[in-house]
Amino acid sequence: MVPLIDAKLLEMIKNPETRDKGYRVLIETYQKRVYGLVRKMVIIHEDADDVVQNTFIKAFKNIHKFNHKSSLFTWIYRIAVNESLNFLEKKKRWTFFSMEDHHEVMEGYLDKSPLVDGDEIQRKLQKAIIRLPEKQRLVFNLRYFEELPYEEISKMTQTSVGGLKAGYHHAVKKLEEILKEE
Amino acid sequence: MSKFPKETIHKIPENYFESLPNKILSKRKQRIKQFYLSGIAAAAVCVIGFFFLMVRSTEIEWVNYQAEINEDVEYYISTGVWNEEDVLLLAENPNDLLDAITEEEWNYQLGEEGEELLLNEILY
Repeated sequence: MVPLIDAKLLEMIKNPETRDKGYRVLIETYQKRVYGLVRKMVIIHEDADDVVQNTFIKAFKNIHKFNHKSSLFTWIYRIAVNESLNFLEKKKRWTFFSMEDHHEVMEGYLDKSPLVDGDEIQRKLQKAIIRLPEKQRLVFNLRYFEELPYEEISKMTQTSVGGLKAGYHHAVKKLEEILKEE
Repeated sequence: MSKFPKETIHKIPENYFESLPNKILSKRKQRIKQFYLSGIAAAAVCVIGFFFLMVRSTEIEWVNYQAEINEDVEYYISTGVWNEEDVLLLAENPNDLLDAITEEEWNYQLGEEGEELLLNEILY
């Protein structure tokens, strides 16, 4: 079942006369949630900005492939997830050749950037989350902060619900250990 | 874990979400433009490459054709099918050709000394 807003949006995008307007409405509808997810993954605002832009451009390019099996939101979120993971993978490959470790760059950003708020405990948690493997970090963010049901996360990440539950459990355990150490 | 607040600590620059749709839409247009431009550039390279290839093959064909004609003419002359007069008749400028042949043969027979000798003979 396609939600009404999705059906209307897709109709607008299908029509060449209302396509641009449709794209704009689509961005305005989902930009905050997509940005929230991406920012939690890549931490740095400028990087998140790039990834969000690429996410929507990719969504527009492939909108004809949208098969209505999930909601438009889940579909766009899945693109955002892939874009974020690809971005982090590229950064990892790049830092392999440079002296700077991307984890350290993100930690430094959490300490110094004016675009990071929150108290000491919140920053500690964010720094601990950065230390998790990317996919565990993604599952933790989607479940803990976004409070998405496992079934929806399963559609986005194309992982079984059982695998996600195990991954989340591992992530929580690791975070507790990291936070205890400090 | 429950003691950790779930509120986001990530802030965004002022008016970020107001300007984001325009940024994305103009970036999309730019990418489409780049895509078409690179397509046109690739097509132009193909057309130019094809043109040069065609010109080159025409040149090669012409050279081959000319070489074949020369071979045929030499064959006809050497076998005696054509004599000097036949060759001269085929030429566009038989008189010029005849003058050139005569001059060449005359020089070949006399050389520089011969020329001087001829001049002396005329003076006498």
